[in-house]
Amino acid sequence: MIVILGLDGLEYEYVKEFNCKHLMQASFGKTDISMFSEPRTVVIWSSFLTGKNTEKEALKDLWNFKVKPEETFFAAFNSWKAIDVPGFTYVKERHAKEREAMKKFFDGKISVEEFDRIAFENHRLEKEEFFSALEEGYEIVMGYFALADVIGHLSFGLKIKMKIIYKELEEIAKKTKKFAEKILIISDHGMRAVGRFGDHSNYGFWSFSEELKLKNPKITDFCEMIKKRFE
Amino acid sequence: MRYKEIHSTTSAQKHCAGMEQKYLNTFLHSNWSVGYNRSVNKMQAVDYSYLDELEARSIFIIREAYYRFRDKLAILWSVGKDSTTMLYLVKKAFLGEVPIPVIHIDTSCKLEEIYAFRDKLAKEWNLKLIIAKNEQALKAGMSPEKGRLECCTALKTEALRQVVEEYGFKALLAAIRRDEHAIRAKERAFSPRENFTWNYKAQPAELWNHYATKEESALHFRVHPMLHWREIDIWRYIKRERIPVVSLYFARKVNGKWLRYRSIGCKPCCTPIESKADTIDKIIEELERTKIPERAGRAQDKEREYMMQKLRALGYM
Amino acid sequence: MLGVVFVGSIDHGKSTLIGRLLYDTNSLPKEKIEEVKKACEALGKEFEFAYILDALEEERKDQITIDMAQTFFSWKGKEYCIIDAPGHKEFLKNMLTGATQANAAVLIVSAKDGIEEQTKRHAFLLKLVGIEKVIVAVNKMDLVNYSQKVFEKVKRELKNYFSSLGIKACFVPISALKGDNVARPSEKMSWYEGKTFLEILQEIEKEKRGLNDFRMCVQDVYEKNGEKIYLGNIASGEIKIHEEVKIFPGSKRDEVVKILIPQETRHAKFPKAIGIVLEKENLARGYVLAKATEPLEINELETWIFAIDKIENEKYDFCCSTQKVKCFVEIKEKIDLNNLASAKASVLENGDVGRVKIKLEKPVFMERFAVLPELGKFTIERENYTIGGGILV
Repeated sequence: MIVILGLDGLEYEYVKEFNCKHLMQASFGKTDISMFSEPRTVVIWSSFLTGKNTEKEALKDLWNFKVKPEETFFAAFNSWKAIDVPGFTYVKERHAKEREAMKKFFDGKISVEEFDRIAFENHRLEKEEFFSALEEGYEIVMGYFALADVIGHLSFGLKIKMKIIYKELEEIAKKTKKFAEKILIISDHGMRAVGRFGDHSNYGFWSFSEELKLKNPKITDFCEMIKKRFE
Repeated sequence: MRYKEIHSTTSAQKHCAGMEQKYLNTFLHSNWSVGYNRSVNKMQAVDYSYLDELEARSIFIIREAYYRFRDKLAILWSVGKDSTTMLYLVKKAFLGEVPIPVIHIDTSCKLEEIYAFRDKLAKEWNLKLIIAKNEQALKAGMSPEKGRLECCTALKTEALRQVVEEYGFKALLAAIRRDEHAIRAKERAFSPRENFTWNYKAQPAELWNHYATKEESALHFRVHPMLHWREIDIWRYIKRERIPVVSLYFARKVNGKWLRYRSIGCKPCCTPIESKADTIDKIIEELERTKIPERAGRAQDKEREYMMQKLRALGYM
Repeated sequence: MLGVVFVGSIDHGKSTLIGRLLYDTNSLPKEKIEEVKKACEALGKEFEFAYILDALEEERKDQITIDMAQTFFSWKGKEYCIIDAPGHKEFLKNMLTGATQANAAVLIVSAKDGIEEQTKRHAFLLKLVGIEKVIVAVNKMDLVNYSQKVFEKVKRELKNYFSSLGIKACFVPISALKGDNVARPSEKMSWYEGKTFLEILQEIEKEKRGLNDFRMCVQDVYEKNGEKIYLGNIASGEIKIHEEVKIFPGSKRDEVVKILIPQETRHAKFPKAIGIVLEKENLARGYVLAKATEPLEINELETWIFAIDKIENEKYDFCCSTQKVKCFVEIKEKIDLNNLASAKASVLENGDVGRVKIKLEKPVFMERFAVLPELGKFTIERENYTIGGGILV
C-alpha cells in the first residue's frame, strides 16, 4: 500500500527545528511552488493530484473547485481512497466552518481558544476517517490533515504551541508506518511567522520513506512518481 | 475617590461596601485603598504606601538629570498616561514648576482627544511646549501605508532628531517602564545613546542610585525615571494623586461595543480593546486580574491587519 | 515588593528555577499558557513543565546571558521582583547593577557540577554590596539521585566559605525541572527536614531601618520666587518646620523655615523627596543635614572594595549619595576568591576584590551600611565613570 499524508501548511523549518524524525523519514526537502501567483491551498493540492497547474481553472470558484478522478494519479490504481483532499474530495462544510471562525476571530467576536477548538474537532474527524481507511486494504490511500495550517494561521509565531501540533503530526506519521512501506508526506506550502500569526511561505515540504534523490521538485512532479509507484 | 464609587455588584465588593463607614473613611483618606487582591482572591485593603518609595525614587532621578544637564535636558511627552505621570512627577520635583522644556512628537494623525488634552494641560501647567513635526515627510505624503516602520521612522524618530539638533539637547527624559517588554527590562536609568541607537550589549554599570554620566560631545542620554514602575503602579498613583489623563483610556460605548484604549498613539495604528472599565477603579481591577501585557495590543495590531489582508488574498476570508 | 537577585550560571539551572517559580505561583502570562494547555487537552497530551521553559526560552533567546532582566510574581500576599543577573565575569557590572537593586539573593548551584569559582565570586560580591539574606538553591538534585550526601557536601563547602565572610545563608536542595522542594515538598528527599524554597523566600522581610534620626543629602539648589530651596530625598527619619538641623560639613546649625512637598507642609518623613528652605546658611549639592545624632565623619577609610574596571594607586572620585570628593586609593591586598587568601597587590581588575586604604581630600559623612544603606554605600569613579564600589561596615 502507498500512503500519501497531505499535511496542509507543514513548515520545513519547524520540522527540522522540532526534530520530527517520523516526519523527515528517509529523505526530505522543500517543494517548488513558484509556478503559482499565490500559495493557495485548493490550487496547490489539485495541481499535485493532476500534475498540472490548475490555478486558472480553480480561481473561477475556489472552494467549489473539484478535479475528476480520471485526471488524478488515482486513475493508475485499482482501489484508492482520498479523504478530505482539497480540490477533490474536500469536505466543504467542515472547512467552511474553519474559515467562518477565522473571520469571527478577526472581527473580535471569538477568542483564539474557541477558534482552535473547531480546528481540533475537524482534526479528530480527519484522523478517524484516515485510520479506518488504512484498515480497508486499498492500494493507495491519501489522508489530509489541515491542523498545522489552520492553527498556524493564528498561532504560528507561538513556537511552543506549534511544537505540540507538530508532535501530534509526528505521531500520526509514526502510526502510519505500521500500515504501509511507501509513505509520501507532502505539504502544499509552509508558513512564516508574522508576529504570532502565520502567513503562507512560498515553498512546501516533502518526505519519503525511502531515499529519493530529488532536488527542489515541483509540486506537479509528484504525480508521475506516484503513478510509477516510486519505482 | 468617594465612598459611593466603591458600591458595585460583586459579592466581594458588596462586602466591602458594607463595612463601617468610619473604617472606610480611614482607608480613603490615607494611603490605603480597597483593591482586589488576586492572590487571596477577595477584596482586601491594599497598602499603597509603597507608591511613596516609587515616587521618591523617580523624583531623585529627575532632579539628578536636571543637575547634570540643566538646560540641555528635555522631556518626551506622548500625552499618554506614563509620560503624563512623569510630567506630574517633574512638577512635583521642582515644587510646582516645570522648568524643563516638553517635546511632543506630533505625527499629525494622533487621536483628536490627544491634541485637546495636550493643549489644555500645557496651558494649566504652564509648559514650555515644543512640537516636533517632520513637515517635509508629511508634505511628501508619508503615511502608514508606506509601511509602518518607515512611517514611524520618518514621522517620529526623524522629527525628534531634528528638534534635538535644533535645540542642542543632550538628554531626554522618557517614561519607559521595565515591565513593558522583555528587552526594556535591561534599560538603565541613565542610558547613553550613540547616534540615537541603543547598544544594549554594552551598558554602563548603575550601582544603587549612583548614576555616572560620562559626557562626550557625541553622546546623548536617555533618562528613565519610570523604569521601576509597573502598569498597575502608574494607575494606582494616578488615582491617589488625581492626575489628569486622556479620556481615551476609559471605556465608552462605540457601535454597541464597550471599548477603551489601553495604550494610545496615532489613529491608523491604534486599536482599542473590549472593556467595560470606565473609571480608574475599574481599570485597576481589570489590571489586577489580567495578565496580558500592555504592549501586546499594539504590536499585534500591525500584524493582525497584515494577516487579514493576506488571508483575503489567499481566499480564506 | 521584595527585590531578589538570582545569581548563578545558566547551566546550573537559573532560568529553569525562575520558570518553575513563575509557573508554581501561577504568574505566567496566562494567555500564552492557556492556549498551549488547551491544545494539549484537545490532542490528549499531558501538559509538561518543559513547555513553560520553552516559552520562557523563546522570549529571552539571545538576550539571556548578557544583562539583567526583571520579572514580577506574587505569592501569599507578598510581591516579589526577580532580578535575573548574568553570571559570567565579563558581565559583572551588569550583575552588580542588578544586585544593588535587591534586598535578598538566591545563589543557584548545580548539585551535579558543584561549586565553581564563579559561585564564590558571586557570594563575595553579594556581601560587598550589602546583601545579607542569601538562599542557596542546590539544584538538579534529580541528576544526582536526590542524594543527601551530595547535598551535604555542597552545603558544607559553601557554608565554610560563607561563615568566613560573615554571611548567613539558607541551603535548600531542589530540582527546578521536576519541581521538588520549590513550591511543594519533595517525596524523593524525605531526608530533608527544612522548608521549601518558596517558604524560605516568604519568610524574608525587608530590613527595618536601624536609624530613626533625620538624614538628608542635598541634591541640588533650586531658586523659586527669590528663595533658595535645597532639593533632596529624606534618607531617614522626619523633619518638622522650625526644627533645628545640623549641617555637615561645618557642623553649623540652622532652622528649617519651609518644607515643600511641593506644597508647603509642616512635616515630612522618609522616603519623601522634598525641598527645604533654611534660615541663614548657604548650601550646595553634597551637604548632609542631620538631626539628633550626627553622621560619621570619614576622612580616611580602610575597607574591601570590588572593582569593575582597572583600579590602581591613583586619584579618583569617592561618591556617597550626592557627596563627591577627590580621594587617593592605595591598594593593599587582593583577595583570592577561591580560598580567601590575600596577597599584596597594586592593581585591581574587573571582578577583583581588594583591601584598600582610601584617603579623602575632604570629609564625607556616612553611616554604616547596615544602619542606613543610603549613606553606607559608596562608589569610586574615574572621570564620571564608575569603576568600583563598596559599603561601610
